[in-house]
Amino acid sequence: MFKARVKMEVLRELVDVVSTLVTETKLQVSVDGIEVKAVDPSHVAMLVLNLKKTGFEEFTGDSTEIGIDVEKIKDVLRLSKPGDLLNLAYDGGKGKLEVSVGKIVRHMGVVDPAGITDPKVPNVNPPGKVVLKTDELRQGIRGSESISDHVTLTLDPEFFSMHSEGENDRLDLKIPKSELTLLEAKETVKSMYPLDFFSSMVKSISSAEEVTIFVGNEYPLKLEFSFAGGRGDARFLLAPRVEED
Amino acid sequence: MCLRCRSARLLCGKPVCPLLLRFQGATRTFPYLSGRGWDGSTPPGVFVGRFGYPYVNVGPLLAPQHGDTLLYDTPERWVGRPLQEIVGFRTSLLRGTYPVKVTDAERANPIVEEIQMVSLSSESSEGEAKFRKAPQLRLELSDDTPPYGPTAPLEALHLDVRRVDPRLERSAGDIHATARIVVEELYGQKVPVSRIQRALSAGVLGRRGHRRFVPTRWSITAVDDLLGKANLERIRMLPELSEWWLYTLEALGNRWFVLFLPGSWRYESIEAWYPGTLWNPEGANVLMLGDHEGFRGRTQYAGMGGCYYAGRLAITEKLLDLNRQSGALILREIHPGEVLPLGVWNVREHVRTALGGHPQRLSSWEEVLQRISRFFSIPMRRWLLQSTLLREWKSQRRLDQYL
Repeated sequence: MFKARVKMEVLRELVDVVSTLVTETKLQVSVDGIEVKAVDPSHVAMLVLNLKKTGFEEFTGDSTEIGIDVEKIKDVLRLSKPGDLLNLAYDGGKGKLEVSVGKIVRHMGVVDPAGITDPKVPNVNPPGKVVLKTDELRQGIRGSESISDHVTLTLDPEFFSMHSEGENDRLDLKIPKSELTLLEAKETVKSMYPLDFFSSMVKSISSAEEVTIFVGNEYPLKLEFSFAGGRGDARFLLAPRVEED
Repeated sequence: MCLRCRSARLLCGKPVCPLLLRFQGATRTFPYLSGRGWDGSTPPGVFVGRFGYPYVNVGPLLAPQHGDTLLYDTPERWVGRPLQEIVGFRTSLLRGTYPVKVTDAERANPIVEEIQMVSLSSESSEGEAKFRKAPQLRLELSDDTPPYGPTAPLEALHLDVRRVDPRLERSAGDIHATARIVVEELYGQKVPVSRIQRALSAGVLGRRGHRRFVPTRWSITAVDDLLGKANLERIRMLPELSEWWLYTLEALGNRWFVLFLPGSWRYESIEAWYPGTLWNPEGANVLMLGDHEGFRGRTQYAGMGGCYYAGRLAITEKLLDLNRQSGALILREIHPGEVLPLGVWNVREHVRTALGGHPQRLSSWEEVLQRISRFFSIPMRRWLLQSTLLREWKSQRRLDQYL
């Protein structure tokens, strides 16, 4: 059983974040809130997302799995405007998720959760950590997109940098430690990542002003941020690219 | 630049493509018709031009002889025939032209009705035509469409269509379904792709009020793209292939290397044009051009053009057949044997043919590289540099590796 009332902006961000990796996903409902785990089909990127019951305006739920077609939720979101509240209800019996906004009610068919793989989340702990402004990161990504299909992130004891290199062009974003909220790197670490994933991940974040990035040497990246006014948190993992011989 | 344009965009700024102009002289020897009349048979064939869009020329393709000429406009049956033969029967086809606006597809007009009726037929039709001027050799070759011979403006046309394809006839009678749905249905009923493309370009498919003539080269790629996408909707749900499968073929001066890669759907197609080939006449180096898409497909038109989509359709058919999804890579080396642009059927049908053979199962990445080196004249290193899929395979780690 699941019944909740949620702000349009919260649901929209959740859906944007999830749809960077998958088109169908499993909502794991518990008495405390909801959880989503997703892995992209090529197993290069992963997401673990939690939204506490306090992130909803109203919430009642017990242990349930709901298989969701993300596109259908987006359809309903398109009918709503900022400030709207959406009602979600699922009783498991009829196999329909009921989503309503204003005077509109949509009964949507759900996906069999058994058909959606439960990703095994690797326990990665990259040694370097940086907290920076989402806007600055987004700007660097926008600049990189016309240059290459991958970016290199570097964490140095004194600075954070991101660079991408094409045949003739190169773009660098370098932020000194003094202008970062937090920088923890005992030594220089760097890894290269596929830009398409990194870019859509960062672009899906709409409310967090700051993000936390963990980086190692030729090691998966961990990107953490919060949403729903701190009552939701999400963690992306992204596998690295390694230099060719 | 020539390779990017392929006469379609006239990027060089000249009014006529200079590469294609070279063939004007050579084609003088093609069968030539004089006088202002024609009688013979149509394969059936319909051609819709694209210059001046939305004011275009439509018309039938007419063979100089009577009897069964179905082969002349059925690319599905051209594989295995020598280039001379294909060019020979294609250039004997006379193209009647009749000026229309593309939105005239639903307006009553005797010549248009003859052309549309022929686009539904399933066998050759005998007929007669009268021209306003004697036929002229005005070669308009393109990379997407097969070549054809002289052109003449139609004054009157009569084609004796005896048998129509009942599936096409039913679709043409359906005035409520969109062209997209009808095209998918016809394909599901095993109507040959070339026949669907002909009907789509003749403006007989789709909702009433929305039917239009579609330039032949656009309709070919539209159908290839649409059907490939429809197949992919299903393929993305299928279990993943876990092995490397290789199919190869040599035909008409082309070497085809079609590789299925383990994992989820992604696709890349790369062409390498040797010096002395059509789009690389003067160059000293091999020119390579390719495009790729990831799991979710692409949103921008592929720079390499219709070949990309024709190859993708053939690949998706095979994957559905195998009941698997996988990555797919087409590498194509074009040697100086290819002198005329033949149309994208060359890609679709040859990839289909290659995939009809037995796959060679490769055991490792190293073996893939070895096969590329052995099969092609171009060094493996250059293919690796060009191919996003191969580079990604080599450098991109998966999260499973950190479990």
